[in-house]
Amino acid sequence: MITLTETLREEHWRILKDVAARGTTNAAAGLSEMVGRNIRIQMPSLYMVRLGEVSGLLGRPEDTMVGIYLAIGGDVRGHILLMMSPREAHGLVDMVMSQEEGTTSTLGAMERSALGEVGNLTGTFFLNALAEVTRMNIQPSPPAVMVDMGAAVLDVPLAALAASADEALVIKTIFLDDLRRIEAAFLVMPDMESLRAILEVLEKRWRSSR
Amino acid sequence: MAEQQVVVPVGIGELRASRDPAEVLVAYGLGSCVGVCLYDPQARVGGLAHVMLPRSAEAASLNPPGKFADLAVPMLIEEMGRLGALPRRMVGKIAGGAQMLVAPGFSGNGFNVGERNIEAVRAVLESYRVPLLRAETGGHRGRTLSLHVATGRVMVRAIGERETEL
Repeated sequence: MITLTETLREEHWRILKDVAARGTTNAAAGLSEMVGRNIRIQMPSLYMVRLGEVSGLLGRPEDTMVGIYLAIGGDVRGHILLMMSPREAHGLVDMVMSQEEGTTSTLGAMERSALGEVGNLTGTFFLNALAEVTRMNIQPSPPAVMVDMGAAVLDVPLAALAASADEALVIKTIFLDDLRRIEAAFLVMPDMESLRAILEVLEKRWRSSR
Repeated sequence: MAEQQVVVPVGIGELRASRDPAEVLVAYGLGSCVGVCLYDPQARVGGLAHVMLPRSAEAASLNPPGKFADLAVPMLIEEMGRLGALPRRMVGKIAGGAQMLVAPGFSGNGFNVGERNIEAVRAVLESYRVPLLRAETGGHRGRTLSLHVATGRVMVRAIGERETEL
């Protein structure tokens, strides 16, 4: 089997970076609208890594993390996972619920629901941008919120990807607001077949536009 | 303990056999993955596999082979054999196989890869006649599993809980 790393050319990386930037910018715009504050986003980093290396991008595997997960369906199959420490999640809940910083200290049903909404919104806005540039039909699932060891949360997308791939494309960024920095890793991991399909569509469009 | 312990992480899809009494093999944060500890008490050889999926036949990608229960366990037994262990003396303990996703829309059987991992590991251990002494599996929480090569002791820890012997 030819791995994607070997077949990804410079041109592909440029296309992917462009799509990732559009998607994450759109996600930040959606989040800004939701919280009524200006949320910016760092230029996303893209990694093509072996599945075993994904957790290394996110800190120590045993540390408690909050993960907001969405499955991607439609013409594209894959996974979106918003990962952050509980501390960052508490800050995000305060931000979303317009509470003073430090109000939230646990994650009950209401807090989880607020986090789910953040995942839903950022995920949907990201996918809308992807759907627009590819003209593909892309649908997110409802969000699921998990609080557990980071590696255990990551098992959800990794086990699903492992059947068809030994590597994953990881798009990672950080949300920042004017007052504070919410460090959340926004991971987008399409399955290999979908990634090839996306690249094919975008390559064609890019060629015909020249 | 006189000797300095050396923690050896066994990452997702990896496996490791050892006869170094200083080593502690650790699989961190097992969610739907299953950690398989094997030990030959006579040879004092231990091994740990961190499997992600039940069967290689269902998959399009076989790399690394250690991600599949049906390939990882035989590979681990073979590697332990090279260090002097014998399958007929081995005993097994496993942990993991949780269902991490419990939201509506993710409840179908297709999502419960953890359960299928546990079944596959049990089946392959049975085919080698390796007795499964203990199992802490299923549920909805992640676990860290470690094997002390010197003694064969296996420890397990769930989030927010103390480490206990399995």
